[in-house]
Amino acid sequence: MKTLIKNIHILNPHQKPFLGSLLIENDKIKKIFKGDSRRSLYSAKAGYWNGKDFDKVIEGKGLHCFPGFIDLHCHLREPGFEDCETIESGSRAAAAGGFTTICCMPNTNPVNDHPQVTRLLQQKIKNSSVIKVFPIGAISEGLEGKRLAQIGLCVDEGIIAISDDGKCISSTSFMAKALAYSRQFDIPVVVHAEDPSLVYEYGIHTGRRASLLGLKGSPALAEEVIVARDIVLAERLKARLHIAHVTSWQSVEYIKHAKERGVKVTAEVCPHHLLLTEKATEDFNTLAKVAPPLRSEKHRAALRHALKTDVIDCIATDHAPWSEKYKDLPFVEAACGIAGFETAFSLSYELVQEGVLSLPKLISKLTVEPAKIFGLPKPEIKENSAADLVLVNLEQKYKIDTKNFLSKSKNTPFEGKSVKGKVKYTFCNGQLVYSDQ
Amino acid sequence: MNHLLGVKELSAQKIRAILKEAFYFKNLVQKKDPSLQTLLANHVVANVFFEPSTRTRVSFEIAAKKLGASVINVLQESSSIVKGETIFDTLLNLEAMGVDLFIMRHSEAGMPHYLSRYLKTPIINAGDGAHEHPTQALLDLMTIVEYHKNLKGLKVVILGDILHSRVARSNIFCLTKLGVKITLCSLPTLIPKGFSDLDLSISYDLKSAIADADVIMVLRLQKERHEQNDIPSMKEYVKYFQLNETLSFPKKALIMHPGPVNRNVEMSDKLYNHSQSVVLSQVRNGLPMRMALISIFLRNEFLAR
Repeated sequence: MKTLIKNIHILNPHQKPFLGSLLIENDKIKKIFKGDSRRSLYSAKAGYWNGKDFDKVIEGKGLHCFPGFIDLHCHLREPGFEDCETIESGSRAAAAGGFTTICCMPNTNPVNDHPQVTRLLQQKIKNSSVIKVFPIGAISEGLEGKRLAQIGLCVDEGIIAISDDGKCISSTSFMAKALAYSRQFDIPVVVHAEDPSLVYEYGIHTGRRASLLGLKGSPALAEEVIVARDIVLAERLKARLHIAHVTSWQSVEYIKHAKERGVKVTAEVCPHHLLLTEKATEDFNTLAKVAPPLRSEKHRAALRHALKTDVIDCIATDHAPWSEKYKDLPFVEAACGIAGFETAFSLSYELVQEGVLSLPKLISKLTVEPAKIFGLPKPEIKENSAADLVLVNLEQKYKIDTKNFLSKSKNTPFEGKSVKGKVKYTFCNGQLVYSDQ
Repeated sequence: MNHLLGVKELSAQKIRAILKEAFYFKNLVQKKDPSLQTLLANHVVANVFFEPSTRTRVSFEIAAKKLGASVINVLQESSSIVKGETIFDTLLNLEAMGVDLFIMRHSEAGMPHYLSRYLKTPIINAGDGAHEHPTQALLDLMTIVEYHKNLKGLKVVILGDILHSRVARSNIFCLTKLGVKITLCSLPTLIPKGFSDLDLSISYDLKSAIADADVIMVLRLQKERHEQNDIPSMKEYVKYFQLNETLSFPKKALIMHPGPVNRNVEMSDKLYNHSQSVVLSQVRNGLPMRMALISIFLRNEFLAR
């Protein structure tokens, strides 16, 4: 199988973009031709010119080519909640968002806290995913925060990190044990920082908006105390700590100072926290109900600055698909979460348009930076590397329309929003796994 | 108006129109006007209450009956929480049976808002969690204007457990729209987060807060607040925040309470029976205010000219 992609702007993170063409053979990038295709292909080999030698030729004029995006944080809902998402539908939705590698959280039913569950997942991934999926194992059995899951045996089956995401580990002693134990396998411990004893209602920020709705919500403080606690623990225990979906300016300060001291701490932020504030929850809008919640403008501004200054390492979607059954309920009863794969790039690209991030920096936050955190191969467009690629039309404007979502769930507060930057093609291991037709 | 979910959604103009309508009904009631009894004949009003309430429910019931409407009571005031899906089914059934208006109370904030998206029948919110209790705020307003004609610049102190009070929120929305100056007076743990950003004052000192008040609205303090560590003890709360006769406040100040009052907790018995207390006027005004609202929804028109 040979695919030629012509006349694209190739951008590797931390490098200057250049015009060129790519030859994909089977699962690898076989050759990169620099410059205009007419000249470069002709001089390379006569046959390349007319396209005879290829199974598929894509004219990429006006498109940018990046390494496939990597998402450290998503929920694929299989097994247990297949009415909301499956590994297949989730992987196709991710591909539509330009992702070629995603890492799925263990809060399924059953929970991924046992090697047999991991093995089952790996089989399902092999059979039905169109892209690379790495499972994240649970820290505790049943996500109950009481007994350690069989972490080592799950590592043997291929888990890439551990997390009790969706739940916060309240017990300091249990968290200390988990961090100490993780060192043996040198895997990151991913924390959902939201102290349950400080939370009244999940999914809405304790602040003016919640107060006016008669809700007490979840305060920024609930995140901050856990971030501070876990940094203290990780520093002392020399473990790898990854803070999921940071939302508070004070958490950012703690992470910044920890990094300056050399603590092995990394952090991610979600597009919805970079774009929205608590204002979106007005009128009990359950589509904006997400944990941790959308906060105030001060927090949002701090997250943007932290991403720019690398205090926050990467962008992750926290793709949390829920069908209407879980979302179309009174606010207090509705599930927390936003389906994020298919809007992640266009939303994040607003930061480039607003001058917060440069384009190369945004791409590194979606590729090399997340890869580093989980120890994945360095995503790079070079000869003989895996052909995991995304082609994007940065100029194309469109309206977010959930009718076009490949995800089984349509829960997004961004419906109808006008955005720029559309994913046109995604290749994973040389296979075309998404094309925008 | 399709529903009355909260005061937040009402314009100042709409509030004034409702007020006028309520006084119109008050006048008809006082005159014992015979036309009232048949005004809403053949209409069915359903009280659907998922939280214990006697006074509000009965007030609505009497209001509807005085207008000739039939009233049914659907009361599921059990300790188990009734979820939105189940209620939705219940109300759909009642709607199919020909209920013309729902009066609804639920312990969860936002419940009537959720249901209103799917029901054709109008809903009057009779209290949702700590969110809104619009009819209480409107009858409070009616009571205030009977004593203070000019609302602009009037100083209203709301005293007590503001954090858990839907009455406080609806009154804040209502009075702010009419140019009233509001002071919230309580201890820091009972003031909602972010309320300092609103166009009102916050005071932690009862004495100074009420010194120049035109209206003092006292809220009910629930006994659970002690268990939830919002206050260390009732005794301590009483010492700092009870409204009683030892305090000095202007002679013209109205003393209000939405009821039911915890006697000698948030307010002393002497003040409850004080000449400046209008607590029973509030209860009396509840009737014409609710008659007005029921009539507005069932007849789809304002009668007052």
